[in-house]
Amino acid sequence: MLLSKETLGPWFEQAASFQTFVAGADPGHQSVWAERFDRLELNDEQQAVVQRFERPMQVLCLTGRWCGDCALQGAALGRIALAAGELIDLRFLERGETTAELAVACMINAGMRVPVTFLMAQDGHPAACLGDRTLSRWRSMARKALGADANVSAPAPEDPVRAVLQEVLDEVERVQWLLRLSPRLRAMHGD
Amino acid sequence: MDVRLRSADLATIWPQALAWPDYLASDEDKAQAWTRTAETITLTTPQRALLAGFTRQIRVLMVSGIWCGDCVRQGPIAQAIAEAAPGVELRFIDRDHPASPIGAMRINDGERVPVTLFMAEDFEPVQLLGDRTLQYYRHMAAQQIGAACPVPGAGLPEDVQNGVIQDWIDATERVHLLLRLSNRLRQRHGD
Repeated sequence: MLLSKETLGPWFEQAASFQTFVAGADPGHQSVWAERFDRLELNDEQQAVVQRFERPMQVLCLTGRWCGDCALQGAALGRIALAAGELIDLRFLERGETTAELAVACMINAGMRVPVTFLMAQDGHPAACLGDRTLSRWRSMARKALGADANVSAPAPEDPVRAVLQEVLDEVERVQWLLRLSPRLRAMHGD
Repeated sequence: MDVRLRSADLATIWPQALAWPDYLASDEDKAQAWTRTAETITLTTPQRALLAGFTRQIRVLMVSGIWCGDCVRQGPIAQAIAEAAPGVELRFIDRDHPASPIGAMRINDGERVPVTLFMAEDFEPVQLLGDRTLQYYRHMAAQQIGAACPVPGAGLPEDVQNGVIQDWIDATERVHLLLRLSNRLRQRHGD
């Protein structure tokens, strides 16, 4: 759920960069994040989408170093931010005792789920919230848990890891257009 | 100061929101555009099959303006989904209604509409969708930023409306799978 700039701002200020956050993980979890990051280099089409980005953004991901879906979405965000250069200021917070207040504020279906990612304008006003698994991951979970009774609308992707990258990129692209076409920000940027 | 979306508050808002016919009856002149749009929406056979197979109740609250063009485009799509999915209950509340939760749904420092909240059967918030979907933003970008600036990779849909319909169905499918596989709801329903 969306929170206010006033709530998210202090959390963003204390959050860590992708490299610093991953470096704080134990070696077993670090290797998972690194493996995901290595596999998620943007292809040419995805690079072209990111090269069209114009608006600075803040992205705050409440996550767990131990969590597989967090490593997957986090690495995808890391790759997108890397491709976007200085436009995307991506930061991570570990869900735990020190971030419990934020985790409670963005509960999903009565649970403190991770990852939860806030996509914000350059001045910290939130534009979207992405959490927890993406559609392709939920479809995969349904196939495993429900078998033939899984009611899903698409076959399993050829590469489930890269499918998540595309889903995360789609949402970042959507927010980029939201910000690019925002009258408030068009006035600010004179474009 | 955050106005958080809590299930107890949403349960009190819900009875004040209106189902499709009552919402349209609130302004019969402006409702004509909604009705005209509804007449143009056709779900495909696979989309209908997916929606007909939903087994979890989903409460969908659209904060809207009956005067709003984006609401005219998206409200009838949400209604078509609700009509095809037995577990989806859709209600509309005007952005300026005294009970409107728009204060907790501000996007990019604005009270944008439509903003749609997907909830579990017990009003626990799951996902916020708004204001526009990716397919529509790509269409807007192509129009407003101009043909001289084509959108790489965007692949503007031949039929933008069908693209927006698919965006909505994807969002609804994701919420349904999240609820279908939710441990707390599986325990409650014994499935």
